[in-house]
Amino acid sequence: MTRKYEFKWDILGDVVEGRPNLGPMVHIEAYRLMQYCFRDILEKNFGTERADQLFFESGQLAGVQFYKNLIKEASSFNDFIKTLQATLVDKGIGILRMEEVDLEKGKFVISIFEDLDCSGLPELDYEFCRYDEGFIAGLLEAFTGHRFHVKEIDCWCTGDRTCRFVAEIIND
Amino acid sequence: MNQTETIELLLHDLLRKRGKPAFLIDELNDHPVILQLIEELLTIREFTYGISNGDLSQNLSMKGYWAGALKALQSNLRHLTWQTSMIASGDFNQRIDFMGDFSASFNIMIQRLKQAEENEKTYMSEIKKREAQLRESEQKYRLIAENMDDMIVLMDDDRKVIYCSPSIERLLGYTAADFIELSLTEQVLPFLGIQLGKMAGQEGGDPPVLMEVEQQRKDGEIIWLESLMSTAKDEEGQNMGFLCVIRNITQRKLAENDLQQSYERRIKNDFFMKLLNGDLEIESDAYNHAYRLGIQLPNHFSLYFLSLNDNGSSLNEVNALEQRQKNMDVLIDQLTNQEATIAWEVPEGIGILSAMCDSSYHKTKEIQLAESYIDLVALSFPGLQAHIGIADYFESLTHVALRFKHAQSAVRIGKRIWMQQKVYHFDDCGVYQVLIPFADSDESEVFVKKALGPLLEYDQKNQTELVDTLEKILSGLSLKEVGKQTFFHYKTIQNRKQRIESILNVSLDSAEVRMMLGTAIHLLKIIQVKTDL
Repeated sequence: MTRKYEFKWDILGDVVEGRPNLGPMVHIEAYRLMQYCFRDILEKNFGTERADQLFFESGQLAGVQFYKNLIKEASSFNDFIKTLQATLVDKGIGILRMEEVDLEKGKFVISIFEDLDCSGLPELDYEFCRYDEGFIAGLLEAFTGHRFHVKEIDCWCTGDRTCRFVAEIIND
Repeated sequence: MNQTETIELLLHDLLRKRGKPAFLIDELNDHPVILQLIEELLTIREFTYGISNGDLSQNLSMKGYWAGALKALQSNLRHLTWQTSMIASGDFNQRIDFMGDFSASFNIMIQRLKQAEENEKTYMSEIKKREAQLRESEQKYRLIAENMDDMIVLMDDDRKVIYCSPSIERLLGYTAADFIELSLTEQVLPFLGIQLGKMAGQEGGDPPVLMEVEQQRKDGEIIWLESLMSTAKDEEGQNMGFLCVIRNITQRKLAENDLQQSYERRIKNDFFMKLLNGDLEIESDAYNHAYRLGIQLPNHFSLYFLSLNDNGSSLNEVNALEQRQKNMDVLIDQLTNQEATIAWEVPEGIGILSAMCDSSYHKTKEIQLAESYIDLVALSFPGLQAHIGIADYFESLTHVALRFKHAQSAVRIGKRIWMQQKVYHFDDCGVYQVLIPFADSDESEVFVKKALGPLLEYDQKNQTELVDTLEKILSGLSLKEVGKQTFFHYKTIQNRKQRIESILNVSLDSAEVRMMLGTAIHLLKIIQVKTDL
């Protein structure tokens, strides 16, 4: 298939040059408006499950690119987490907390406080952060070289104060 | 109890009491919603109780504000636990930012831990560096101590040997273990006790004590040792005991001895040179001078001149000279070591003065002694050709210079006249005693040339032996006796006599001519006549 919109980091553009007055920041409402509208249209066109899958894959792609272009290289897992925490805070994406780390089994429990996607949303009856799941899976894959299954088990939208994810390595 | 009171009591028990309020639950069986709420409250209560006991592993499946807050707390505590484990593994870059004052204190604690670890690392690094330096230093000292020829002994304040370098084996033949374990200090090196005594007797500053002693090695060899003992002090200057460095100075001692002997030889040579040059004219002055120099100059003595010649050496000129001087020094020492004998170096040989028991003249003894000197040279230096001249006798130092000259003349005459002999007494030199002073002058050659020149030239030109014939004629023999000795006919001798007279233009019947020609022939034997003169 001939690709028209294949993602490249360069396509994010030069914000400093392009937005000399407004700068790099944008209201979260604008971000969420775009994301949720995408989600709405995708669901309408492809159904909920497919829409969730597309959101996961999008997040996964973002996670890999985020690692390659912003984390770049980490010498150890601790170094990776430390840099990731700092970068996520720096970009206003969220506050990452490591709750459980089992490197032997390849299992992690990760919390995101003040999550960009969902913090402050009204309570819903379902976990909302499919994009985050993909994002975390992409980050871990980029660092470890292994694919990960990531599942959100707590979410602001389900009445929790934090988004909690369980990530487990997929043994191919 | 109405329902309101039941719910009040239920909430009261749920909040304040342990366990499930079962008696009330039975009354609410008809209110499943309230029962569900009670179950959820109990779940939250158990979850909270678990967290209060440090159990962060629980899973709270409930949703909602309260449960969410508790799960956020659980999440933070789990993260704190992970961060703490990271800190414990040495990651001091972890920071806590979600627990208020605790975070600030905790972060300060991490910084201090980091600083403490860095300090410890620096300290350990310094310790390791110092240990390495110490090891290196110890290795160097050990290398030096084990390989140096000097022996090092360390004793404690009780004079017990606590260290002895392995070099003792090379120096004395004993092992260090023998030396330390068998307390050989006093038995093997008794001088150490003397040195320790001297150290103890000193006041202020603890200056080192130096001793030079002769010491017997384990194999019996006697060597010279130099021992320097000082107080051993630690880095703070506190006394640790005694440190002794002992070295073999045998070679130095031998060199010093050689130097001393060389000096004594030089002093002796200078004295005898002055004596023989006539610089010490007054006899008493000469005796006093000799006494001051430690030279036992006897009143009655025989005087000898030992002439020495090399047979030829394969050494180069410098080495040959050095070797000759060494041989000369050894020979002089050997001669001097003989009873009542003084020897000193003179040009081309050695002067020897041998005391006589009394003034009575014992020529035979002198000759025997001279022969013993010749034997000594032959034995010690087979490569040297030795001849010895014995001076005539005068009492004490009277004419000593002349006597020595006579001894030298005796050698000079003897070498020419009595070539088979090696010992020549001046008294046996006859007319040569008179001729020899004149032989040293240029006139002697002129005289010989004048008297015998034409005859020498004739013999050389015609391969004849008229000079020999002349000597026999002048010896007082008749012409017949000369003929018998030379196996020629009387007439031949007579013809030769006439030819000699003709060549020399003299008459051999003249006593004066005979004396002149006889003197010339004697002179000819002890001087070199240049034919072109």
